[in-house]
Amino acid sequence: MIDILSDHWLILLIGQYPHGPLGGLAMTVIMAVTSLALALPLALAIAVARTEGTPRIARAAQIFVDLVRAIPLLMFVFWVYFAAPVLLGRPIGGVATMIAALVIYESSYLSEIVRAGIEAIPDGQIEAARSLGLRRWPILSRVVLPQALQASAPSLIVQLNSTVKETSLAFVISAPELTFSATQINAVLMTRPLKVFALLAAVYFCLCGSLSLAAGLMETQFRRRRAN
Amino acid sequence: MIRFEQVGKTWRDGSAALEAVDGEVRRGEVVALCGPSGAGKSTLLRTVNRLVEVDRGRVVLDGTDVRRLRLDRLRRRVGFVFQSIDLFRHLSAVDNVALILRRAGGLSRGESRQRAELWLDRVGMADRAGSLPAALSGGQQQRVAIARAMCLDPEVLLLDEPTSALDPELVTGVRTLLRDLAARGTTMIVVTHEAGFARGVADRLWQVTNGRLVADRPAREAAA
Ligand SMILES: Nc1ncnc2c1ncn2[C@@H]1O[C@H](COP(=O)(O)OP(=O)(O)O)[C@@H](O)[C@H]1O
Ligand SMILES: [Mg+2]
Repeated sequence: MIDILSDHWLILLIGQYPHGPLGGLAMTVIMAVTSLALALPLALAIAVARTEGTPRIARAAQIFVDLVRAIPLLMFVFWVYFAAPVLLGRPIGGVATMIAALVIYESSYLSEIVRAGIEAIPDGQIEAARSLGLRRWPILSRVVLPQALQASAPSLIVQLNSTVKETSLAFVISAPELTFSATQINAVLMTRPLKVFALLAAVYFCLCGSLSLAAGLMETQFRRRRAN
Repeated sequence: MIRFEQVGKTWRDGSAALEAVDGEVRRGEVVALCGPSGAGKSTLLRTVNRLVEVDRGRVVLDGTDVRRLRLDRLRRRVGFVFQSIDLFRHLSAVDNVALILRRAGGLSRGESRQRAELWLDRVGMADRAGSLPAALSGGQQQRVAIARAMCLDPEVLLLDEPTSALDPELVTGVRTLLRDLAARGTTMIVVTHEAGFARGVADRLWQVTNGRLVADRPAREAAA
């Protein structure tokens, strides 16, 4: 395993770059972070629609969330892959496809995290805000959402963890990320698939393990700060 | 200043919280609301800033029915301090006050900050301006909450058992602050169980029992 790593670490890290597209671990991280960053504002909007919206808007948001959560991520990857060229008139790259699919998928999961954060805010916070003359929007943007986001930070890291793993599906549409790099190495070596994929698992483990660790630390720190 | 006219409130479950309450608080006056738990004191207080909407009679602020005022304007004119304190947990003491100056009062960022610091100084909390609520004692939190309720110079300050969630040794600071505010002519209605405090600070004492205002007398007489 060590010899595979020492021969091919650069491909695992950055793919074909600079002779080809950026890939490998770097692209995995870029895809995961970008799609979560894009999904978060969407998730906030969905969560707010569910908690503060009119019954009809809340219902629509809930249907979207339930629908997305009942469908495997791979279906979104295929849909975007085949629908994007029809809608946009030209094909989009594998990376963009994967990110688009992840944004739809993750916005639904993130919105549930944010919603839990909103619902955990004590009524007294809202009542105080209202009785001090704050109007609806400042209450939402200055009191509710900052507290909800602070409380959800550890869960958001956990979600980044699963998103990192989900990016491995991009390999089916040949987007150059970590798993794709591993399959390339495997194709070159031909005879050692177990070792190659064990190495791949180890890389995911290190990345996701440290994310879990970070989430745990944040959680503890957050509890300590809130404790009276 | 504040007039309750035949104020009545019935909850959805049919139970009555307030029944034909008549009373008047004049400008600069401090009224202490006393009475057993569940009598309707909090409910009466909340009708003034419309956290509770009355369903009979009316509450009049400076000649205007509070229902005819825009809600956010009404609430800028009426400060409210809760028993449960409820500082915004994610903001430091000074930011708790500055947020209200900026977002409810419409002041600039710099001005909000400056006036927030001024208010913290007035309630004796200048040295803890940067602390999060969780790092403050209950009494300190309540003083910040009072600064936050007072920062837009409301015409009236309503306080619902402002000291009853505090440990005895923390009550004094808050009490002194309320005495100061009263001495400076702030119109106040305070729900309180402490007879001594009521006599020391209030001009008049209202006794509420079973949703009715059963006695309204000068605080001094009540001592007898
Ligand atoms: N939102 C509410 N819905 C229904 N009943 C309420 C509500 N708030 C208070 N009550 C009831 O109204 C009565 C008066 O309550 P409250 O004004 O809080 O009394 P006090 O402050 O004097 O202890 C109590 O019986 C209480 O249970
Ligand atoms: Mg009460």
